[in-house]
Amino acid sequence: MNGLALFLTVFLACAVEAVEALTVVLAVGTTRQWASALQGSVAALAALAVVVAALGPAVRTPLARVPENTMKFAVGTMLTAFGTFWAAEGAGATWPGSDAALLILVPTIAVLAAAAVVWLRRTATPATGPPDAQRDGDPTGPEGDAP
Amino acid sequence: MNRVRTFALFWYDFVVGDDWRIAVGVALALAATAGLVHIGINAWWLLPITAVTLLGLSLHRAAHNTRR
Repeated sequence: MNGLALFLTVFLACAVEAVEALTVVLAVGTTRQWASALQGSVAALAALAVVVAALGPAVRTPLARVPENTMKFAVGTMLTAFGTFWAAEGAGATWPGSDAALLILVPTIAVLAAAAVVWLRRTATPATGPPDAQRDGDPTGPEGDAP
Repeated sequence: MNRVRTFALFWYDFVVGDDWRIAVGVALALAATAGLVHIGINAWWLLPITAVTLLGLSLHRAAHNTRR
């Protein structure tokens, strides 16, 4: 992949994440408090810039060794859990235990998703996934994003 | 026109994704949660149940289509 294509890929990926972050800030700001939500987002942006600048070059090689589908599974689990949590709060519901409900929600979704992977491995026909899925050792070949 | 179509397709793919049924189901669940909260029922449980159910149905459909 040449430099321009890589630049555009990273730019689009970051733009998509920025829209998701904006959604979270809007939900929190609307339902809780705008000042704290904006201060939190600015602080997170500053922290992210520092972390990426400081750790990015160092973790580049180890991260490249993490299987792509494993990373997708972890990110999908977190997005589903946090998305469900914030969406319910945005709709006006109150979680039992408040923010501590995430400590139950995240592992529950991870276990259910892992069970779905096991189920798909048993039911899906082998060698039907995309090449990257087979390279990662995952015959189910999950290529879509988290719901 | 092609750029407008690409822009629209990007947002469709971002909002709806691979399975439009999941997007519709989540939208309905959000509306139902808001409605239940409005009438005094703390329906925090509705979205997790909906997410797990819709994901299971979508995976079942995808696995079934793969086998065919």
